[in-house]
Amino acid sequence: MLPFYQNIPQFTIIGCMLMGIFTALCKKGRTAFVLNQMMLAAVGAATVYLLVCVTKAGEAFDYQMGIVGHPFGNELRAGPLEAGLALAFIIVMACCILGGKEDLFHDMHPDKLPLYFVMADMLLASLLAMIYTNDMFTAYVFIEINTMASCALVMAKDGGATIAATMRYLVMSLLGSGLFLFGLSLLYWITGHLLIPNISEAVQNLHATGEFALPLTIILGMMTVGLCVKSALYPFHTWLPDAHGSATTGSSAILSGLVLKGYIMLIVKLIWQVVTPEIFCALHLDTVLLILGALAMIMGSVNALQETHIKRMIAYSSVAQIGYIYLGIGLGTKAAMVAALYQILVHAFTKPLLFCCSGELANASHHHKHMYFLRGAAHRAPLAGLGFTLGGLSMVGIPLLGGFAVKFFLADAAILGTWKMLVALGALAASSLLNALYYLPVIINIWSKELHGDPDPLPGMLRKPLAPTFAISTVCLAAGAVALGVFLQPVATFLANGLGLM
Amino acid sequence: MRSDNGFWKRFLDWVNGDERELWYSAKPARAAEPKHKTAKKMTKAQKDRIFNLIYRTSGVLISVAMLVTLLLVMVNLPIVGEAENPTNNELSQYYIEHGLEDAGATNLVGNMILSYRVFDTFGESSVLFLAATAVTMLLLRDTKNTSDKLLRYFKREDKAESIVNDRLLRTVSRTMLPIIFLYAIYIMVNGHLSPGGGFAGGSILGGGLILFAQEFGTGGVKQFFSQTLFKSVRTVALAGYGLIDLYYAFMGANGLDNHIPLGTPGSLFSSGIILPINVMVGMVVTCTIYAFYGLFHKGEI
Repeated sequence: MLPFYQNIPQFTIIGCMLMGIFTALCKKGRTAFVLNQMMLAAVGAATVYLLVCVTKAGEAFDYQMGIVGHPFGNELRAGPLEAGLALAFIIVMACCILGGKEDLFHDMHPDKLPLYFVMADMLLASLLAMIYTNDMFTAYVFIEINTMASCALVMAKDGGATIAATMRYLVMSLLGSGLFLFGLSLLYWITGHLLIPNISEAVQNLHATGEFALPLTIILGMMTVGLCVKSALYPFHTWLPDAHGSATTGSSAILSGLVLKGYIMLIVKLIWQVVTPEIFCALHLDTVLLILGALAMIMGSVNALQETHIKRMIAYSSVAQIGYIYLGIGLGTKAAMVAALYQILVHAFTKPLLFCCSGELANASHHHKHMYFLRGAAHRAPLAGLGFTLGGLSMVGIPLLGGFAVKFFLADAAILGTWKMLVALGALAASSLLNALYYLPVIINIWSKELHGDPDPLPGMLRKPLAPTFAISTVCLAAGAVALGVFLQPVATFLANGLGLM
Repeated sequence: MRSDNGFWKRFLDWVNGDERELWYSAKPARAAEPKHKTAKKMTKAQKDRIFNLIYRTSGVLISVAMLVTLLLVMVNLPIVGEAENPTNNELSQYYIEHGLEDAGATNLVGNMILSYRVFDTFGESSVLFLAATAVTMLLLRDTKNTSDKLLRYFKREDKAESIVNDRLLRTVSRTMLPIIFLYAIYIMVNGHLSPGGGFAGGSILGGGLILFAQEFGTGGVKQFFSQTLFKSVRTVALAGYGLIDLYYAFMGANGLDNHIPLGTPGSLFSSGIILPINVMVGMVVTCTIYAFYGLFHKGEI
């Protein structure tokens, strides 16, 4: 008999899926919403318990599902890092749904509202499975669930633009899954295993003997590129602005805050557990990720500068922020990986905050999302204005906010004395400047009613009443962003320990 | 780089603090560009042509590069069927030797997907459920996506269908349908003894339902397979599968006896969880296939 806490990963994954299946029977959107929040609370409480137990035990454990153990069945693995990330994802998920609730009930047909929550529940299950899995094929199965659910979340808001965006997202996403599946089947063919520890052992043997050197390189390349397409690394980001920019507020927040991170977690697993960082660097895949990450940081921001649609601007900013994560992964050291994980957390809190607040600001401006009409919107929805300001400043990298911590750790980790240092520090500096260039004007814009004699674009628009769900979500997300900026050393130590135990 | 509205201009304005020129303080310009500008530049058709040329050339180049790479990989892979291949390891050895005593099905593939890797297969079944739900979200008729015109069109179509007496279809489907349904059920419940199982049986049953709908109309199917029944069958089957999976994996992981009798290998009621799961998967697949047909056909189930 195992200690009870070790069952929690499985219970949370299957619990989310069962809740999703039962939610499909709901007739009213409100019932589905309440059920979803109750499930998130239960799953969150269980994960807190798991986190406390694993941190106390100080080690990760394998959970062997089925009648016979290792290496014949499916396996989950959880340690402090996995539990911590799962908890963060659950909290952000709850905040996204709360923050986007008003828009969702406005945008979607009431008969179909419960289906949205089916998708959200399944999406959370797939994210948890991607975090906990110790089996590459399980990872692929849940990639499929994730793809399906996230496409449906984009599509939820009816309309031509969202359908076109969903099509593009679906095609790119399936290209990514296809590359991953192809790589995975070839990897099985040369290693004979699907469980991560066994693949790892086989890959190390192959690398030492030099057998199948070319296939191994290309397989790892295909799997990495597949996951990069799905997590919108720079040259593969073309689907992101449409999908995130046109979806309903909650979906944009979930997609940019969580879905991209799930795939990045798989890349971290691939590098850290499956092939080990030494082999990954020996095949020069880290260099590719570093250069693409640096490009993403700059090009994402340049594109964001040219946008006048607030949600598309934030979506392009996601491209840049994903670049930070890949920069950390590409530097190839443990400290840089910790910085990348830190960015996963910070972006998971900050980007939903920005999306939810911009949605609320748009609501306070007759649902206009153009910068021009958003002028002075913060006076009509003060909490949303404050949240947006906080999120924007965090992205720019003001101390005491999460974004600063990431830039600090990345810069610290980049001091390697090689050419990589130049690329990383240059990209960091340029990207911070560019972030300031597009976030600060928007912040000034939403707080100023009159600008150089231009009158208020929406005169007579009154202050919007504050929805309690939105208030809870904004306060939680903002608290997360601030906490990550204030307690940077403890969080980084936690992440480093967790990475060591992974 | 356009000089009047380009990135550098905005950048300079921002640096100079000349906020009045910034893009957000100006009204969104929707008006057409001045004519003298378009005259100097290329027309849209020319631009499109150049774009298409580059797009197609790079598409072909990338495909060829990918093809060559994959062929190179293929040449370097282990040859199919060799005894010393990495896939012929203790794993497949174990599945062949102990599959029957561990899981109890004579169909070894069934053992693998529904007992050793039952969690993955639950994920796969959920993918089907999700696909059907996503299509429902998009295509199910509601007040937003259906006009009166469309409803009138459907009514006319139904009327036309009822008048046409398609003898060939009628005779063939009336003869074939009972056989198809029986065969589908056989494949489903016999999945642990012979090749087949829930996925195969379910798709045959779903195909049979589609044939039924072709012959008797979706109204005919509704007589015994209403939307409520559809939803409850799907939910009960998938949730049942999930609960069995949860119980099975929990007992296995904790090293407890799961009290599921395996029965005599080879008989119909044997192999523990595999038989009920095959039936449940079959139901989910049937519902999914038929839902696709109904929703794409007329936006209803």
